[in-house]
Formats: sequence, structure tokens, C-alpha cells
Amino acid sequence: MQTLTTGVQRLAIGATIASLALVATACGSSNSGGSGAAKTPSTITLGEITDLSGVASFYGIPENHGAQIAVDQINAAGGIKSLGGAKLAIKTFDTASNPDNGQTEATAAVGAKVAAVFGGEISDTVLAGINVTQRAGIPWVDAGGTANEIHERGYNTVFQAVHDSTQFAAEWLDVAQLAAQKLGVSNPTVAIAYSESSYGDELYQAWNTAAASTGMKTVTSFGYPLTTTDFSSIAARLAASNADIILNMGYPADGLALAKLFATQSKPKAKIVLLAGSDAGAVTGQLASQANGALMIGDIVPGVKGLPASFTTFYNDYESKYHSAPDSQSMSGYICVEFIAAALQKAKSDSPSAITKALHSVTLTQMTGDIYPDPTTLSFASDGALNNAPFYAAEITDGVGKLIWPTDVAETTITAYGK
Amino acid sequence: MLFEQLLIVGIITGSVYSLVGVGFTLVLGVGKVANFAHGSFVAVGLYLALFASDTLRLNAYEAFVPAVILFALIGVAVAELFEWRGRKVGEIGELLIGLALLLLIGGLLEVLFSDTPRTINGLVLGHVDIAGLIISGTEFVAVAFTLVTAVSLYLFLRGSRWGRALRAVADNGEAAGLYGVRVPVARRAAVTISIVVAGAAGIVISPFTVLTPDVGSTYLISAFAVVIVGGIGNALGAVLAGIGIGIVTSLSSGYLASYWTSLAPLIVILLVLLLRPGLSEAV
Repeated sequence: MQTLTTGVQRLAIGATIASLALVATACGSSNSGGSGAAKTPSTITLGEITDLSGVASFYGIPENHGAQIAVDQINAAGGIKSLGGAKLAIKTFDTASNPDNGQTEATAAVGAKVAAVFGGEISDTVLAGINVTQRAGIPWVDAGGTANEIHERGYNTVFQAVHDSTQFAAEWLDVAQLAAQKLGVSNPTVAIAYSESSYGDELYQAWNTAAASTGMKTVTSFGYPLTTTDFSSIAARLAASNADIILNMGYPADGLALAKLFATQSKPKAKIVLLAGSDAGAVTGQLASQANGALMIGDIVPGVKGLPASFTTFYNDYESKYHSAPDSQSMSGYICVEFIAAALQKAKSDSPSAITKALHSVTLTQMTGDIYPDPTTLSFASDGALNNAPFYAAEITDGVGKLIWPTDVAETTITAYGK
Repeated sequence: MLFEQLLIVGIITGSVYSLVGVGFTLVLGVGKVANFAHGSFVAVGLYLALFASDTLRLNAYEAFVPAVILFALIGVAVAELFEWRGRKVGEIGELLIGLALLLLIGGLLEVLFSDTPRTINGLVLGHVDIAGLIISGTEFVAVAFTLVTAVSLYLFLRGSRWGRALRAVADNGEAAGLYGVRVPVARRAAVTISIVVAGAAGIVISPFTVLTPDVGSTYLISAFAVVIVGGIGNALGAVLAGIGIGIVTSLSSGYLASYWTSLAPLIVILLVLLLRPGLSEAV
């Protein structure tokens, strides 16, 4: 009995030592991103936290597609050269257009040990998720959330690769002033309807601050619930205001509904109609020439002045893979991946802390990832905001969006709404 | 001018609420089923019109009759589901079936049509300019359809043998059964008719509605409001309630701060509940 016990004991000790050896070997050969292991990873996983379902998927899906094109191009060119040609891969986390999912999906991304996170189309979702990634020390490059708070929270791991509310409001104010000047409207009055969300509230406040010094007077302004689907009375109220400029700070469906109502039901007398949250390509796809005269976010297409060769490559690759033209959010997704790739290249490491440090100092040029005609370089300020964020506005002319801003890439002159 | 415009907008919006509420009041009053998927069938009607427009090149009115036949078949199937499974489990089971259908239909629409907001264009029936507001012919048709449907349902429930049977089931199913009314058949008929009305409503309002897969939930909430104010099983009450709620919502949206847009109709509902002693006033 004593001999048997001793034999069993020896067997148990031997099995334990063998197990410990196996575990030690497994830890040492980890290939996932963010491990900081001495061995160069063959694949670096990036987490994309965005809305791939729900109403915001209208922006989230193009963002994902644009990001995937960037990954395909980088991998085809040999991967991250400073990391032995490591390839990039995207793992998606769907927040389903519900800000409540921001924290949950960010936690899942951290658990998946991604090297970096990018994406996000709703500011509230990004704001919820960055609390998690900041604690984990994982950088997040925001693709679509415009709230100032995203970069004003003081999180050193957060980078906003899109204009914030202050920049967005200033850009639309510039467009409004240009339009008023071109149409001979002096001291223009404005009627504003904004969506009551973090994005809409903040944009409205930023507009008021920026417009205060211009003499532009707001004759009526009102918010509407985020869940609004019937815009009939809102359109009637805006049209009845007799303002020179009608401005909507809402989401894509809001601008689409208003454009349709302005064309079919409540014809405004305003000469300038700005639908700040709507994309020209998406609206013309639904309404065609019914949206004529409205100003909204413009898409860059081949033929625009000053386009770098990298845009043409991106555009052709995107159309070839997804059988549709890229839009502003596709380009944003692309830029996010390019920023992270540049940071990986500079850091020569896939550890989140090294990527974060590098993101604070990388610059994209038109030769190294910036596919915009303007600006020609992209970089982050010390607080994570994007310097010189790209912004394009278009006027719908004959059912097609034609760029009117920036003026150096304008494709058409501004005409009065309803003419 | 703004007041007149908001009033007209409220009547048009309210007629949509009424149309959805008319079917819901029937399924609640006679079928005794709180069908949470009722609004989803309106969404199915909307997307069916989109499919007919994009793929079959048919406008909403050309697709109307085939769509109604399709909804009748769907209604029979759903009614059978409620009767066959729901009754066995009880009221909770029926609620769960409705919720399951709500989620299933929403998910299916999202998969088939994506979440991109859509509009249906092309159908032009002329327009009228009233108080500076352009009312399209399609909106007039929707209002007229609401009135015709409500009056038809009212006359059916009042004047026909089958209608009297449905009312009897609504009042007291057990007693109606003792008098020879086939109660399960009556309940199935109520559910089927309500789904046909919901689907037809979706088809009729499609020319001037922005489509998103979750639009059905908006109509469900308005259907509940209409039934509470108009009375369960009261078709004409549903029309008046729907239009009333539409006008209140429109005027509050036009003149007041945004939180009143949601609050004002709820205050109206609360007042009705306080002032009226009973909810059920079947026709």
C-alpha cells in the first residue's frame, strides 16, 4: 500500500510538472496583438467597435468597408514592415446603434486582446466605450463620434479622427456665410431644428457660440426627440419661420425626411437649406432631383480637383470589392486604419501603450495614407483632436451632389433653394 | 398660417394613427389579444410597397389588392398561432408570441432591406395647396381610406350577423359560446382582419413615409394610445382618437419645447382615463 501511494504520488507530481511546462510554453508562444511578447506577431488584430446594425449602420457599414480596404492594401504591400511584415486583421464588435452597448462591446474588445480599437458612429456609444479602453490602456481612434467630450475628457488613449462639434459647427457656419454672400443675402436669419442627443445638442451650442460674432440672427430654434420619425410639423414650423437659412442638425433619416417634406409639402421660402447630418450620395439615391438646392455633407468622387493618387486607388478598390462608391464614412474608416498602421510602423511594437504613444506624433501625408485632396496632411493635436479635419459640403444639383466647399475643390456655384 | 398648417398636418398624421388603431382595437376588443406585433405588420406593408416599387415596378395602388390577399393569408396563419399555441399557455403566452413576432419581423426587415432609411417615389396624384401647405393626392387617399375602413368596420360590426357575433364575443365570450357562436373562429377572424387592415395601412401610407425597419414600433405605441382614448373595440372612436392625438402632437411640436411633443399626447390619454370610468366600450 505504501509503495502504491508513493507511485501515485510520483505520477501526480510528474503530471503536474508536465502541465506547468505545457502552460509555460503556451504563454511564451502567444501570437495575439497587445501581448508585448518578444516574438514578432504574424497578425495584429484591430478591434472595430461600431454600428453594423440599426439605424446608424448607415454610417457604420461604410466605415467598416473603408477600413477593410485599408487593411487589404497594407497587407498586400507587405504588412507592417517594422514588425517583420505583420499582417493586420479586423475583428468587429457591433454596438447595434445602441449607446448602451458601447461599454459591453468595448469590454469584449479588451477581452479579445486587440492591439488597438477604432470606429464608432454615435458619440454616446464612443463616450461609453472609451472609459473601458482607457482603463485597459488600449488606444481608440474614433471614426464618427463628433462630441467634443470625446477628446476633452483628457484620456491620452483617445484620438478623434473626425471633426468635433466645434469644428463641424464652424465649418457649416463658413458654408452658410459663403452661401449668403453668393446669393446676396445680407445679415441672414436662421431657423434651426436639432436632434436632442449629445451630438445635436452640442452642435447646436457650438453653432450659437460661433455665430454670435457674425451677426447671423437665429429667429427660431427648437429641438426634437431622437426618436422622431414624423417630421411633418417640424418641416411646417421651419418653413413658416421665413428665415433666410434653414439648418437641421440631425441624423441621416432626419435630413432625408425633411428634404422630402420641403419638396412635397412645406415649401420653405428660405434661400439656403442646410441638412448638416445628411450625406449627399444617400439623399440623392432616395430623392434624386427632389432634393435639388439643399446643402449637405459632400462625397469625394473621381474628378475632384487635387485628388491624390491614393484616393483613386482607394476608390477603385472599394468599388471593385463592394460594388458601390465610397462615402465620407468609408474614407473615415480608411483613415483610422492608416493612422494605426503608421503608429505600428513607428512604434515597432504592437503593444497598446507603444501604439498610443506613436499615435500622438504620426502624420499621414498624401503619399502615406491621407486620401483627401484637402488637407494634405493629417495628424492629432496633443488632446487627441484631429488637426484640420476634412470637411466637404455639396449642393444637390439635378439630382447629383456637387461639391461647393472647400472652395478650392468646388464643382459648382451655389444656387438658391427652390430655384 | 402656421396654426392652419399644423392642424392639417395633425389631421393627416392622425389619420395614420387612426388607421393603425382601427385594426388594433379590433384584435384587442374581440380577439382579446394584445398583439405587440401589430405595428410590425404596418412596417411589412411599407416594405412590401417598396419591394413592389423597386422590383416589380408597381406603385402602391397597383400592389394594393395582391398585398391585401397576402396579408389575409398571413393573418390566418398568425391567428392560428395565437389560437393554437397562445390559448394553451394563456395571456402571457399570447404576449410572448406577439413580442416574438415583433422581434422576428423587425430583424427580417433589417436583413432583407438593411437599415438605410428609404423613400418610395414616383407615384403622383396631383396636389392641393391649403394655407400654404401642399397636400399630395396620396395623403388625401390615406385619409379617405381611413374613414372608409372605419365606417365599413363600424357598419359590419353593427349591421351584419357576423359583426354581431364578434361583438358578442367581445362582450362575453363564454355566453356567446353558449348561444352557438363559434368563439375560436370569431377570435381568429378578428386577428386576421386586424392584420389585413395593418398591412393595407402600410401600403396606403408608403408614398409619403420614410421607411426604416423599426418604424413599426412607432405605430404600435400610437395604436395603444388610440385604443385607450377611443375605446377598445370602438372603430369610430379609434378614428376620432387618432386624429385628436395627431392634432395634439402636431400643435405641441409646432409651438412648444420638444419634451411636450411626447408629453402632450400622454397628458391627453391620462385625462381621458381619469374622466372616463371604463376603458371597454365595444361597438
